[in-house]
Amino acid sequence: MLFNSVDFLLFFPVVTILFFAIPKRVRNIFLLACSLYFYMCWKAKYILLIAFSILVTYLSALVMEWLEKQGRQRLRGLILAGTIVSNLAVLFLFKYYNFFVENVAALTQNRLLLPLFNFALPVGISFYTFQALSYAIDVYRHDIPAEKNLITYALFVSFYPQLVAGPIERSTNLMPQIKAGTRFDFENMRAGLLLMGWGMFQKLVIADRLALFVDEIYNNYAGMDGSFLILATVLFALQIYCDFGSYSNIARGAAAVMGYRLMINFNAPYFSRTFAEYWSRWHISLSTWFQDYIFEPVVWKMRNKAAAAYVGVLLVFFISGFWHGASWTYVIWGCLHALFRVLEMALRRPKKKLYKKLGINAKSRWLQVLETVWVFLCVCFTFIFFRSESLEQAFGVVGRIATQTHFSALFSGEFFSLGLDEKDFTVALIALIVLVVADWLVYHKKDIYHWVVAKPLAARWALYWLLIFSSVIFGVYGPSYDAAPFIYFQF
Amino acid sequence: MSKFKKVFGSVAFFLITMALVYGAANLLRDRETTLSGLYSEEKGSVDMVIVGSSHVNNGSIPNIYWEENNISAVNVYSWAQPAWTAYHYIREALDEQDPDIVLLDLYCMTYGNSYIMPEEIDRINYENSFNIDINLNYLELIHTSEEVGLDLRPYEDFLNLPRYHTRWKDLDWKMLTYDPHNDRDFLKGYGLIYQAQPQEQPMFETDERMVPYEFCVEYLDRIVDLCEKKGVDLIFTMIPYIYNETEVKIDNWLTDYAQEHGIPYISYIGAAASELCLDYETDFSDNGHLNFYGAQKVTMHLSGVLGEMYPDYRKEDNPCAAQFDEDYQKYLRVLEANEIMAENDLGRYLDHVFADENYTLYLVNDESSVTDALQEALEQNGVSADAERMCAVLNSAGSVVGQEEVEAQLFGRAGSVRFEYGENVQVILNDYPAISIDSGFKAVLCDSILQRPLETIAYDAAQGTIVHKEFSSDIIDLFK
Repeated sequence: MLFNSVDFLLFFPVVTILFFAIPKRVRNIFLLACSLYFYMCWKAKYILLIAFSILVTYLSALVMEWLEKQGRQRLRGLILAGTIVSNLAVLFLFKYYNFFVENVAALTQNRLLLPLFNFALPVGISFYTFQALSYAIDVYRHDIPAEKNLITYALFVSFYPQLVAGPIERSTNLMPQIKAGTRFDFENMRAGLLLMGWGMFQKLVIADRLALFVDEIYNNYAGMDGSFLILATVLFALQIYCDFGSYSNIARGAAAVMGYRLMINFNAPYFSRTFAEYWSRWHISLSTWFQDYIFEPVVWKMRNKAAAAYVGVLLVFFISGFWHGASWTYVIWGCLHALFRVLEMALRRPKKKLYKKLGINAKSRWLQVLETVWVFLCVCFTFIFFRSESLEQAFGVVGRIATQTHFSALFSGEFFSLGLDEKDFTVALIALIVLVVADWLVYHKKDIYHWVVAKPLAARWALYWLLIFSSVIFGVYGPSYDAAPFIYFQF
Repeated sequence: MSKFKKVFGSVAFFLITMALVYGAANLLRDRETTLSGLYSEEKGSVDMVIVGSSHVNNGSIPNIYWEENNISAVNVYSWAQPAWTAYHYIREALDEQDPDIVLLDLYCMTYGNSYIMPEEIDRINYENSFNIDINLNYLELIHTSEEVGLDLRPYEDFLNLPRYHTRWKDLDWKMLTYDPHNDRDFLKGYGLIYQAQPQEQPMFETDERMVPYEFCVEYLDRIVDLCEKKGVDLIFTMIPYIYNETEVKIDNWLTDYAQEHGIPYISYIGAAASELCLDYETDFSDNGHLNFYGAQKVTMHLSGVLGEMYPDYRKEDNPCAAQFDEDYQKYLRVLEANEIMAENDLGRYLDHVFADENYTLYLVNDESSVTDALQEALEQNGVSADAERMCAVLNSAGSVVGQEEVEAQLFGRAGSVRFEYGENVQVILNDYPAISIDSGFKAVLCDSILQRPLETIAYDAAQGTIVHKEFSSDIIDLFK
């Protein structure tokens, strides 16, 4: 079920109203049933995979806790390893096996042809697998006790707002809320609905509109002028931000209406001045997951901490690339980010010295702008690989940008025939201005929500309606368009 | 904030939002409907509804029934209308009016066996047939189409906002002002086509029967039940088109069905078509549709049959007789105007126009295109043609000559025509050039009886002929 569908428009209020209407003691069961239904709307049989992940991690946590009491530490480690391997094996089978087979065939020049595994990739498998694994690791590390109640734990893994595209929640945050239960709160409802409204705006008005242009250009990249490819890449960066950011906002909003607080997943990432900052603001739940469960254990175990930091970065981004998809394009995307991050780390001191020598004020506004633009452009460059469907396409795009760029082509009159007509382009431009202003305020820690709710009633309602009707009227949805799934569903 | 205030505020906000959503949906909804002929008639004034697809739109002329049989009639059609849509259209017609007769074209029963593939029918039906008023019948039509048709997303596709919200790109006054319940269609759902395209006469003859698609039969049964329940006479017909052998078999089955149910069936499929003396060279506009000449023959024949069945209708009994008379006169006027609009000789064209005081010719010219013939024709009508840039409004009563630009709201609510002066004068219809000839004079012919501009013409000096571009409703849409 897509958030941007009429089905969800009916599902959400019905579930929310019933959730608060039924006795508190059965709410978790009800919400679990609704979450499973939400997932099964896509492919019912794949619910078995979630059930497998839930049961394995649930039981292993209980066993680990029991072994702890028995003082059998070594066995605990083995149980954890078994849990991780079994969960990753399912992920590997559905997501990476065919990729592995293809590469083995290529490496052996088709001498070793393994059978393919022809099943569709289960939606959100990377998200719920990582969430379940984080719980098992947390229990192993004594960050949280093992959960005895299977319903509570199953709801933690399958909580419908964040089930298929995150945020990847931590057991330390969401589980206590599920255990404690929630009650209806007007402020939560208002804040949640507003966040959902903003998410819908990002998805329907910006992301799906920009996709019309980006898809047109990337699908026909071989004949495109480099200037169009540059513009499409920049717009893709904005599209994917709004697409993924919108999902996170709708998920957080839907959870908030029911009284649950999910973690922030995006925090004005394109205003970042360094790659380190960018990754602290982009897909935060995944970045911190890697930080907590891969980077820190690596650094913690190695003696040479400086070298460990570099190794950790390379490892994290390599895995991050693979996490996004079984394709070398994603791996290169991850490696490029690793490269930028490693360079940034290596050049931090020389850069400071250089600024000092040249008398450049590191806090000057112009430098901040330059750094922000630089990081954004580098991120855009990495997105060429993220957006391309093959390495051939990615290098083709880079090649055309390098050799066939004539910015005059943007004004040739062809522009408005490439997916976005003049009116769509105008709407996209206005919406992007709104987005930039909103993100700028967020970046500077301005509390937009409280600014809005503090307005007089008429102004406040006018703003709500503006948000609602801009999505309803200017959104890209309905029979004229195919409803675009959220990009991150595939991961 | 007190609890009461919050609850009250939330409910108020929700209700106002719903009202605004409803308003926006109605504003953006494409209200141009094929049922305007039905909706715009005074309630209870229609004696007969003729239901069917575009075959009805192009093949049935309701004004003729009024003149010949004193029966007030309207076409209730939609493109590629399948039987289930026909059922809901009949329900709509029976609710909206209180007709005595439903004349149903049974082309809808050939679904899956006709020259249009079912997927195509579904798609066309899906895009064009859901323009009835929003009510229970409308929602049921959506539900039915989803059940019967192919791969529909009823709520996303047919709720007005998802379906029409992209019309913000084409905002115009007509969206605000057009009202199918008040903007009369004096042709009453008839779509006039003069163009002729020769067809090969189908020569299939068979006694075999073929049962139509199961849902067509189910909905035909429902139509029969509905008419019976409402006490309405149901008559079947099959307006001529270029049919195939399978359709003849279906027609045979329908003949049996009609007999079984005691329903008159006037079919123009197979041998019955010969009664009409249709000329396959001149009476069709394409393989599916009759042109005006074919439609006239079919309607006159049907009118004869109806005359025998219903001899007692009198115009005086209809409370809206005056309106139907006026509409008939307008229909005749359309036929007259079409004769002028087929004229290619400038002199004869001007003669026709100036002979009728109800025509007005808005004319613009640049000096390069003034030929002797044109100058003579204009001067005969008192127009000085030697001005550098001339603008004239001509009619049989004389002319007004001026140098100023004409910018006329000729369409009223339907749009505008203006003249744009540049190197070549252009007639601009709804902001788009209406005719593509660069040189020569351009003119717009208006008719005070039909109360609209009829066409724009350009004089092609090189060919010495007039080029016409009709301001039909289709063309108006094209230029939007």
